[in-house]
Amino acid sequence: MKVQDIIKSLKRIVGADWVHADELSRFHNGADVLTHFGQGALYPENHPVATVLPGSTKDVQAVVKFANKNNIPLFCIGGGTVLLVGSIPGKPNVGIVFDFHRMQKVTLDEDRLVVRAQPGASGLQVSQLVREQNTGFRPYFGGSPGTSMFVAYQVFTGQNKMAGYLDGMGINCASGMEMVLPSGEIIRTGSMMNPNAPAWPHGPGPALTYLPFFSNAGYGVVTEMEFRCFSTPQENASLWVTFKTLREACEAMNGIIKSEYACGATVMGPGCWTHALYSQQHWQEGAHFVKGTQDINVVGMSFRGTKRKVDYERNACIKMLEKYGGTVMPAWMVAILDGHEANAAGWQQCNSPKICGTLNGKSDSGGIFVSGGVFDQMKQLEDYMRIGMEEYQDVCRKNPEFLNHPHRLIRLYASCGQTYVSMGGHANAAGEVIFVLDFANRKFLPMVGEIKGRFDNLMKQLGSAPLGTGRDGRTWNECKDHFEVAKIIKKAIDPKGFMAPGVAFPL
Amino acid sequence: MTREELLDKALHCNRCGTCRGVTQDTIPDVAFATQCPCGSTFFGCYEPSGLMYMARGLAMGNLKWNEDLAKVLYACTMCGYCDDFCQRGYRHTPAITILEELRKEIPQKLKPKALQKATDSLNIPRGNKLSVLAGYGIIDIAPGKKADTIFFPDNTLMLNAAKLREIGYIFQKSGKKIGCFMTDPLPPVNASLVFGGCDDALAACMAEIDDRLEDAAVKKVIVYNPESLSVLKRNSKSDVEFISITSFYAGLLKSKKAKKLKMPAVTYQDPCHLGRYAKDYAAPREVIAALGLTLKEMWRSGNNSLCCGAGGGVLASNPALAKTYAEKRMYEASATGAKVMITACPFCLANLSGAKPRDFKIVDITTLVAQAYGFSGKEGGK
Amino acid sequence: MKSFFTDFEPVKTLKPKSAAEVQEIIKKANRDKTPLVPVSSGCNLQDTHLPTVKGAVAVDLSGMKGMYFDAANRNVTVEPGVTFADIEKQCAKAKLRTLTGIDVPKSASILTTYLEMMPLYQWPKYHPWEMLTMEGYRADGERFATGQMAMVQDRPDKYSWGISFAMVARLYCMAQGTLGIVTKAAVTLKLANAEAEVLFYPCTNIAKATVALKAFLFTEEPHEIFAVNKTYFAELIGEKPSKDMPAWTVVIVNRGADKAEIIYKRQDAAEIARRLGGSLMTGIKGVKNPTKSILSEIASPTGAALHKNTKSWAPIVSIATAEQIAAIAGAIPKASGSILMPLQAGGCFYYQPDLRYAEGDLVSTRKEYVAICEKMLKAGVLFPRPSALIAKQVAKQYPDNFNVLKSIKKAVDPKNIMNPGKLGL
Repeated sequence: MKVQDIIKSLKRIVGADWVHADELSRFHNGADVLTHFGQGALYPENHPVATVLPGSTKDVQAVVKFANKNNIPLFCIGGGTVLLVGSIPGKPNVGIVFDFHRMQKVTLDEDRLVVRAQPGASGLQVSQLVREQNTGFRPYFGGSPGTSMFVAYQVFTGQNKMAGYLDGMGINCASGMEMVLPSGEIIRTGSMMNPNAPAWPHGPGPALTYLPFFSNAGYGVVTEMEFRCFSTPQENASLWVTFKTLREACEAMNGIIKSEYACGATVMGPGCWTHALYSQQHWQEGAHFVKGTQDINVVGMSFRGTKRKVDYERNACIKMLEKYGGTVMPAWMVAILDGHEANAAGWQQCNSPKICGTLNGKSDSGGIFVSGGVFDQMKQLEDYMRIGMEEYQDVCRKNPEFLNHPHRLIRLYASCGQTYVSMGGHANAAGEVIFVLDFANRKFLPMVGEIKGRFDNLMKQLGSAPLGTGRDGRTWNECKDHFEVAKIIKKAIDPKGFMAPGVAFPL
Repeated sequence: MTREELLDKALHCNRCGTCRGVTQDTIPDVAFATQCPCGSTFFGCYEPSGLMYMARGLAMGNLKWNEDLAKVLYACTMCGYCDDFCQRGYRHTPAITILEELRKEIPQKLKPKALQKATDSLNIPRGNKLSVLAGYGIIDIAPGKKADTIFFPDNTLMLNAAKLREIGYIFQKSGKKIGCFMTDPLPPVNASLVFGGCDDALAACMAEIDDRLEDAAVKKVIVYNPESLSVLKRNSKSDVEFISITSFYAGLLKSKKAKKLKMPAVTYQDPCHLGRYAKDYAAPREVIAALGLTLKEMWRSGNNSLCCGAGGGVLASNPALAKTYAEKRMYEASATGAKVMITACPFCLANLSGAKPRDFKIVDITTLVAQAYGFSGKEGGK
Repeated sequence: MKSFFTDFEPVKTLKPKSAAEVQEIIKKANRDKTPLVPVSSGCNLQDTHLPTVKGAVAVDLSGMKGMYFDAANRNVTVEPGVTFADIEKQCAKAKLRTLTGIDVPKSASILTTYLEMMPLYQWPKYHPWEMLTMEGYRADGERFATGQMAMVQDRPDKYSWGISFAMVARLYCMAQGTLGIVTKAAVTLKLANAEAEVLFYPCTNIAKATVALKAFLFTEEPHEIFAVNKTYFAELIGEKPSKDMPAWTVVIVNRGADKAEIIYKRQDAAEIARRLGGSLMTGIKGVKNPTKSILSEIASPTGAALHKNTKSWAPIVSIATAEQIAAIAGAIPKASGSILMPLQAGGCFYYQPDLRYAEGDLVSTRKEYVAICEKMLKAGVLFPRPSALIAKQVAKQYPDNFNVLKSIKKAVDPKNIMNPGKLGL
């Protein structure tokens, strides 16, 4: 079908105002935070033919049916802030992108204790609305920026390190959904099966509520989702403890996990940075003092509940961590780290992805998330940290211009968060290591690219878990028996393969 | 700005989308939790990140100026929220600087007709009414005359005798010696020169203003229109202090008590050029409190204030769109329970008046201050 | 004893000793078009291990007892034949415990209990995330595995992370063996706390019990919390129902490392009880040591035998809101035992009323069961694991879901050999 005819038909379906096919729109929705960070060098843009802004489930259905009939690839974008390459089309210059910003309805059902949200509502909007209603209950908020789309980030993991023990991940908290299947039919699952359905996602029979998880619209387009609520804690508190070595810090954190105290925790390795610490007051990262600090390893954790519970657990953890060789950080230092309180207290944090690219803040510096290795053994994790840093230094040495520059031009952050440990259901992965590279000028992007390549190889050699998206070839090659079923379902539901080709499912 | 300079600035934006949101803990309606009039109306590339992408694309040569880009550019009211918000943390994207640069660069034929004629706003109308001020003891600053403090009238006042009377009355009540270039007014610079990309004209006017202020030994300039205030503050090279007329009122009400007004609860619209551009949020609120009024703030207020929709040349070039933006603001105003909105900007007043519900009043803060000091409208001054 | 839920029995039983043998059985069944019904311990409350068609062959997995007890990481990988009893000693040694199922005895298969999402006492605290990864064979005979188990298995502890793309793992949960046979699963264990205390809060009716359950759960402190009616409570503590026993009793189990932890939890619960207008009790008048019985039952449930006095017992397995529970209260016979457990912070409840019947009344009781379930279904109550008696009605109630499930079933089991007729598929 010719592009002009596609655009004409789309305009007939959703209204001319809501089809953006001009060059700027195509460029804008062919790029996301990662592409911007890397300025197109490491993560290329893929521009769609048009962006459609549906106003309702009916609009979505009509467009899906049209795309199905004419075999036009369909993609979905949320806030464009995911760091795992999920927002932009899988192929260049084809397809339609759904932008859901017109669909922003949010409601809180006080009886069934669910929040229902359309895909265009941001985490911040949901948090603000639920806080205003002040019912004593609130949904889980994953550790994504406030302006990420609530449904999208919950479904694409949603990791709140300050609450992961108790609340799990975003998808664990989904209770039901309404999804438009590739056929254009609607399916309603779990708590959305009927208006008064209990907030239980499982059943009858196998749970279908989780099909959208990590599949980037590969199985259909979610048009509404419900998430169960948790009680809003009366009190919350944090604890920050330093250790001399990464090994000590990780072992201490294992001790915390085994005690079943705290509601979430994270370890930050040397030169560390954490994506859990956002300042609610400053709307930016509140933990800069730990940046560039090479020799402290910090375990941060939070507690919530009644005052008695918070006091008891915090004191118990202090005693335990001191036995592991930890030193409790002084209050003045902790005061800086106040941003995480939003997450620990049960609310959406307000940060932005500006955590990266803060090297000097004045020029065209950028920051790129270059690797996210998850390891299930401590030795592998330590090796990855150590060898990763060596690889980084090796590349730097081979670029004398970089070495001779008076200011730091590339900076490596390593965050070791035992993310998967702190999530319900993933009980013993040693942890994940995230390397982020800040660069001062885009002419250093080739260096960044080389370092990234080395990290990729290292992750494979050391046996880290693949990330689980179609753009990561490892997932499909190394976990075949997992994905065969996914492919079978894909074939059954989307035989033409027009839903998000090349995004979750490889081309 | 060179291409490199523009690209350098545009690359700061990484599309984080934070500028889409509002930094409040609680908001009763998701509609009040978003920002950017054009972004929250049209979404997509109309959001600040889209406009920043436009700058990047043009600077890199990936995009060329055309009507589509112009449509997006001129839907923006240049309210400054994105720039202000981005400044609150690290890696500030200088959005306003970028947007102003785009408005300078865009080919003339792609500008809306109203903005193609932006320099017409500098024309002093024949038969202007500034002499009304003389009846209230305001001194005409003729060549050779000096004044510590002067009043700066913009072109919305030149023919507005009624408003000039209110202002003159208040100045008279203050007992302060205030001058004004009445016979030979200063170029009435305002933000439409910026919206229209009239860099050269603006520079020429500012040079003249600075010279004449220096000649008259002026130390302080009281400005009525926030759009003029922000332009003067940002572009003057002199040491003169430019203050808003609401600051003047706030100071006056502290030293000279006025009658408390009997009105239902009010809400207040922070004009973008008084608030975000000139950073004056407190003075209008002090005035409202001093007048004995009950203020019910909208959720998006202060530096989070939502633009009325008139700015950026939108009211002049696309009144229907300006009204759409204003309706969003009125929806929020009505939700406060107030029945009166006070503002301190003639453009806010005009645009919001066109979108308000029937039972809602929009009032200029100057009118209320004048009333509080006993102005009845019948005074003609001496 | 005839099954309440189905009149069919398998014609033959095969007992594989390994996963490879399971695969062979499935492949052969595909060639011969023989219906297969997997069974581990048969303790799933609804006899879903029994066929609903003639000529089915049972695949008895109880002989597959391989396991890897990972004390350091507090997990265990189990084959289907490993029971709760089998790992009791190792758990005690490691100061760990399993999550236990309501009315699921210690002779039950751990794998199946969690795979079929039997209601666990610890769900209010730990949520239904006990399954980590799994492997097995699809209905077409091909291997499937989830997460790290899908990678080359070069060490026994390679099971931890999920990579839960589309959560395909969840498709095998509550599938009643219709999509394949799971031959190994990694499941989580929890801390066995040194101290425990049981508190009771009496309620005059079920509506008050739902309010109380939600209120007590607000603190997120109880390790186990549920409410039982007098009939069920009496059975739980091994006594006859007496007039001193409340109509409904909320049972709260607080656990901790030391007495101080128990004390603060009791104080928090007492405040809630006061706000509700009642008071907490540490005992029940006339009952000797209910705490011991309850803790023992939670640690090692009796199973269906708990309720089988002179009559047979058929539970109704459902999830409902407080409103729905109130709406259908009139349909539940007075002689029922009932247990109620808050889920999702009290937004909904596991609700298990039951029917007691003499063998001669099987047919009429089945009719009664179906009638009650249909009323519940109409009220919006969820049957997460619909039994054979109501599977068709449930499938009809949610056609959009079941159309997708049918297409998945067709794709994975084209010859329809895996437990045909179950789930209405």
